[in-house]
Amino acid sequence: MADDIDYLLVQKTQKGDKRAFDLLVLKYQHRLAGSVSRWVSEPDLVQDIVQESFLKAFKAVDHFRGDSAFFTWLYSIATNTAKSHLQSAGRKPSYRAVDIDEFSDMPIAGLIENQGPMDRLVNDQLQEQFQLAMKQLPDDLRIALSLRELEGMSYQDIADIVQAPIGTVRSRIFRAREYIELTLRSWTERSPQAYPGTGGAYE
Amino acid sequence: MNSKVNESFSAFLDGEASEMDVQRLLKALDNDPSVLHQWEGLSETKAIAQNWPVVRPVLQQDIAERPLLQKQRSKWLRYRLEASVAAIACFVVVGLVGFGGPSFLNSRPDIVVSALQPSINLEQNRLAQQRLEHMLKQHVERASFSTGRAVVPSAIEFKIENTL
Repeated sequence: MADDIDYLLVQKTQKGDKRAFDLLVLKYQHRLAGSVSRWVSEPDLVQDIVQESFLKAFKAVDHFRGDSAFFTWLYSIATNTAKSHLQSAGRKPSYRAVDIDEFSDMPIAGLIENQGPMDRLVNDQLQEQFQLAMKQLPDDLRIALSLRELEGMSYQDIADIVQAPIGTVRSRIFRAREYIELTLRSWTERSPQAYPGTGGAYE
Repeated sequence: MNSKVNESFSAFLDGEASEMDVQRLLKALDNDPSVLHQWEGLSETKAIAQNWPVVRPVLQQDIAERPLLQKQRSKWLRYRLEASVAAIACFVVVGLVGFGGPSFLNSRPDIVVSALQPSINLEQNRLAQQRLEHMLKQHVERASFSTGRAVVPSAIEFKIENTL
């Protein structure tokens, strides 16, 4: 289903509807950043590679024919973009870039050790606040979101487990996210220096 | 904002959106493009839950507009090029018509006239035949001096075929 929807959005993009591409960016930008951060440790460089990859994807979107999933295609673009940056890094010693082939299977948690102290602190605080917000959630919302985010279950599987209609599960997951978003936003407003990286709702 | 739309976006993030959800999202974007920034919050929440790095939002409109601008520029250049070619073609046609006048455009009637007046045509052919024979004989004689081969020009017959 997800692939079909992505391809639908790609087709709309190919017909000139850039809003459709905006949706794909919102859906995949952080996930792509997660992939890129396996190869490159600097948050700024991750950001650059992600942006450049989306720019390249948009320019080449007419060539996408749906033979693979959109994210797979995007991932390959990001891989090539990261390789280019790594080659540049050979001439720029300030980049602490790592080899893609060597680190392609490295878990993100392992990479966090490559981050600077400030990045690590921000990440730790963010995770801490997230866990606090999760604990404050009503049970039905927390269970639905946990099964989705931590276990990676589909809505249908979650509906089967909690014995609720799929629409209810969908609604619970959304309400849980909304609550966490509000909580994190409130936290960053109280201590904006703790979470300088985002440009979205938390600033 | 309509929470139904946000719920659709949440499902979209999970790969659980239907086509109707997508239409709803696009319609919401049509009505208010700033909803994108509100959806960033939900997108970041998912990123934190997955322990993905939260990147600053890729400015979609920037990404979208830059290539679009380039496309528009290249289209504009193409139109200019096509217009230039068309203008040159027009200039050439008009110029030739101006120089040649009606006789240029009516070059075929010469043939028509000659066909209608066979006596004039035959006379022209005879004169042309004479000129050709004279020229070729001169050429053959000159060639025989340089090669040393004996050539009897009068023995050679050259003919222009009457095309009529």
